[in-house]
Amino acid sequence: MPPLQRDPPILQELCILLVNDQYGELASKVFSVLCRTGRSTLAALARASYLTGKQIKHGLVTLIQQHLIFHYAADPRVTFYEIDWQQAYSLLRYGRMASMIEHRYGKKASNILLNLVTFGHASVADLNNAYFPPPDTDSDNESEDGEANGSTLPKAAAYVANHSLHSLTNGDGPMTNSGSKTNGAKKENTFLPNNNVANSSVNNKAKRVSDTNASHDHEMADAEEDENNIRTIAELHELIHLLMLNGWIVRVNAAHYLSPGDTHEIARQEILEEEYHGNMPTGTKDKDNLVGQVARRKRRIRDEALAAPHCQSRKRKREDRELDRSSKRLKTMGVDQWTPRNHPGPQDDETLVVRVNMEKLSVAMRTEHLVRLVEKRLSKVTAKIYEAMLWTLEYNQPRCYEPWPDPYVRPDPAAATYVDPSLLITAKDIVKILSRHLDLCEGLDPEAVLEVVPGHRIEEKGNIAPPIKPFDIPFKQRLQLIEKHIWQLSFDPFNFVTWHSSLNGKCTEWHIEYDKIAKTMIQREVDNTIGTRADKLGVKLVRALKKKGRLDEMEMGEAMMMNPNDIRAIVSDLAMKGFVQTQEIPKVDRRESKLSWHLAWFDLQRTREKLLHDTYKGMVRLMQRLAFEKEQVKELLAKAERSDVVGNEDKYLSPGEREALKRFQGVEEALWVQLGREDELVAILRDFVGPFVSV
Amino acid sequence: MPPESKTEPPPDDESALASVGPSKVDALYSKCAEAPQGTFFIQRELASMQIAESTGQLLALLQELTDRHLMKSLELHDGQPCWVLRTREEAEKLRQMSADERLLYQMIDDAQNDGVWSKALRARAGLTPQRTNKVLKALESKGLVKAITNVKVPNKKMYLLKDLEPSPEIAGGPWQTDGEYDLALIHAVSNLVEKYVREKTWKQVPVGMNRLPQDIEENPRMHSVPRNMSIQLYPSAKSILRYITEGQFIKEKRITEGYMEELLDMMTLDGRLEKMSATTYRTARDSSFGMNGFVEAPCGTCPVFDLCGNEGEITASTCAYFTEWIDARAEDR
Repeated sequence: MPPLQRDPPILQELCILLVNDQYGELASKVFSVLCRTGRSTLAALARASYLTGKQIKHGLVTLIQQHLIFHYAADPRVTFYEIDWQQAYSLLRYGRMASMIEHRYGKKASNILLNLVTFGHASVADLNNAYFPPPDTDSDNESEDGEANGSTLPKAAAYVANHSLHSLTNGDGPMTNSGSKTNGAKKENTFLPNNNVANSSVNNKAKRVSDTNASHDHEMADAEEDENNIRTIAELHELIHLLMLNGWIVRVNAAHYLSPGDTHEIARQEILEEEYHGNMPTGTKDKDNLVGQVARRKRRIRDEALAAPHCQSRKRKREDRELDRSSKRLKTMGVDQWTPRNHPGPQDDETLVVRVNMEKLSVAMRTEHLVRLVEKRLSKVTAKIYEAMLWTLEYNQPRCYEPWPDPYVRPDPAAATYVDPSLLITAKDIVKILSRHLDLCEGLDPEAVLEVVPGHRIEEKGNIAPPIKPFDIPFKQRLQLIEKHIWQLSFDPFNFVTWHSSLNGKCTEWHIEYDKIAKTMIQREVDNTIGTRADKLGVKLVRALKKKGRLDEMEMGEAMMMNPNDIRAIVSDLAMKGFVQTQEIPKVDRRESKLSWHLAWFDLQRTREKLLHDTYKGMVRLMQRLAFEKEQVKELLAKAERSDVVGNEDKYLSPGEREALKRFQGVEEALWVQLGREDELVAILRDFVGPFVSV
Repeated sequence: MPPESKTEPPPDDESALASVGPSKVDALYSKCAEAPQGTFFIQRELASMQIAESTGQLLALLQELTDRHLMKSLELHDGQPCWVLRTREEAEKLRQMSADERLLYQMIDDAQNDGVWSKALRARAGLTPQRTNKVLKALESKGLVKAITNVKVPNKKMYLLKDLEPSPEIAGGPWQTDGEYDLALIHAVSNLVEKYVREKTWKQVPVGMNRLPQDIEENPRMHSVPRNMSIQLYPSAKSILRYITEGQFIKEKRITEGYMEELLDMMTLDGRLEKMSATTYRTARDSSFGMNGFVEAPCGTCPVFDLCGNEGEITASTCAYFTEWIDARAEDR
């Protein structure tokens, strides 16, 4: 995407490390050469590196299979290759994606995703085979089919490897096994920080951890694994279908291999041919028009590529949403298990090739952040309600923001209030999703509760007596309680929801102004960073500058009600760290500092980019440190990974070695957890709202 | 509506002047002195005192009083001339002044509580800096004027009459003392405001208020929930000010709504208050800063972050902060 192409080499460094970690040395070598050369042909790559043509080809195939690079052949004889930065960075997020999907649709669905990630992209037939190997393969595989990431993946991968043209993916020797193993471990780790969000997943986490611990202990794990097994092909297809409907996985399309630049060129050429007879328009108005038309065409190319293929019958759509609703309920309440419906699964085309869609993950991450924010600012129950609203709205949101918007025109006031009806939500929409055991009274003023549910009183300590049983609250009153929570959301200065309409006899309609909230979230992260790196007064200064624009020392003092002398130090500290900008404007012809205005100002966009850059750098350092720590215990790790040692650690490893190994695992986990945390920050800074003109 | 500037004395009436007797002058003065000090008299009012026999004579009387410095002539904002009394002592002091002193004094007097910048005085009086300083010193020692600093431009020395309070423009309002922000006062008042607003906007209820209270829970854990009211009824500058004044928390200083608004704005920047609507506020439920992934990691707070590279003396593998951080994490586990 355009903003990323401007990204400085620090992102490149990070991506090379990530590719190296996941796909081994060869792939990362080729990747780094391509980073260096930019868009280039095979021949150019060979010239730019010491690798042989064969090696480069092997590397490229891996990268293409994983969608880490684009390729495009305008002239059929030469193909150009180019890095897909978005996807390369996303290597870090597969684990998170799996956990998000597990949270929403259960473990089976997340397992499919992990398989898909291992393949890069795969046809439905491949997935069928991975889960239900044809009888001629090793039969004892079947008992372990559903086992969590660790063991299924290599096996499935191995299977696909045998049957697909891209056998090189996994054929590159040393990296295959260790690669996917760290892979699995990482998924656990990046998953960890999410858990403090939703309590329901805490149990899952415990389960998962115990899963991995006891993975050799079959008796223990068997029962649990059984539940997480996908038992029939129909069930598998249904889950794939569910994920596709919700936009988590998409059909692979030729357009996916086009780099943003190529897409732009193609769209532009097409428009020029069609509308302007191949000539560049001359007038200003026509040129502006062209920009809009190209953006529209690019959106069309993309949307065609993303369209879920199974939506032939409009009638089913509603019902399918119900399908995912029921699983949402499952996750929120944790009561009854999701069971596949009896209606026939979609007739999946076995040749359909699918891949994961990372854009959807940004939407889910945004949801998660918002919910966490509400929990901090309001209350847990309100956050739950907000989560339900966001989940429902997610269905209609393939991405967080439109990277190719129409050129800005001053909206006419009537149209400005228009909101896409699919992004409107009412309390009625979510009342069904919320668990009936959720205590809607919590987080509200008891007086407000009694307005809705009469016949109770408030005790001295603030308790409601006798307690209202959440399960028995009539539908209408539940609705009213939920609306009370939603009003709180809308009162909040963050404007978590925005009132849209309340028609007679209908529920109040709400919508969410994601872009505005996203900007506030960026500001909040900047505040957090400054609050920790500088101090509280620094944050106050930044807020003052943001509110009032460019100020000189006196004015800053006035806004902050402090003496200017005390502010000087803060300004210079923040200017050094790059959070505020300073400026000197001479009042007279001479450039004398005494006769100049010294202004400071704050530019959110600039600070956002700086912070993003710093965060990337921090992540690179974490990866480097991890490599260093690994290097320290290289020999021990080699020993511990030996096939005879695995499973018999107590026997072959000395107590000192075991201790060192344990320490290293701890370090590894801490570093990965931290990477995950920094990734969350990257999401806020980069993914939730488009590059905007600073406000 | 203080009069802006001095007008020329009303036109003299030669014929009337002759009939002015000293007794009438004194009579007019004492009649006017009956009114509270600082009262502005307009011509109609003075005429109604029935001391002068004609308008011409009245004006002559006033001129006489003005010449004796017992009265000061001014102009109301609509251009109408008016007069104000001086005390006899003041008039005496003025009489004893030299011409320069009187000139500067009158300029300072004209400015009233806005004060005059010493440089402006000099320029307008056309005196040398040395002379100006000398004259101002003399005035100061006589206890007629005082020097103050302007909060907006601290190195501008301003002069105003001894018994006047500088206008908030230059003195900086209630939050400032001697041109500096009174941090202790601001701290105290903002704490009061925060407490008041918190009580008004959040309610402390036990966690799980809708459950049967457990026997063990003598002191249940409390958390705050937003109060059930419309945002228009949240505290505003007006209601907060009323609370502060009625509680008589601040003596000596008068706070107006504008200054209260200034304080509230500042507290909003602090993150202690949140603006709910155009005029109303609430406190933040939790105003502490969170952490984020970047600053939790050693790099986020590293003093040599910018010097750190892939190679060289400072790298991720040689980093002492990293070692410390990893050890701390290991201990936590």
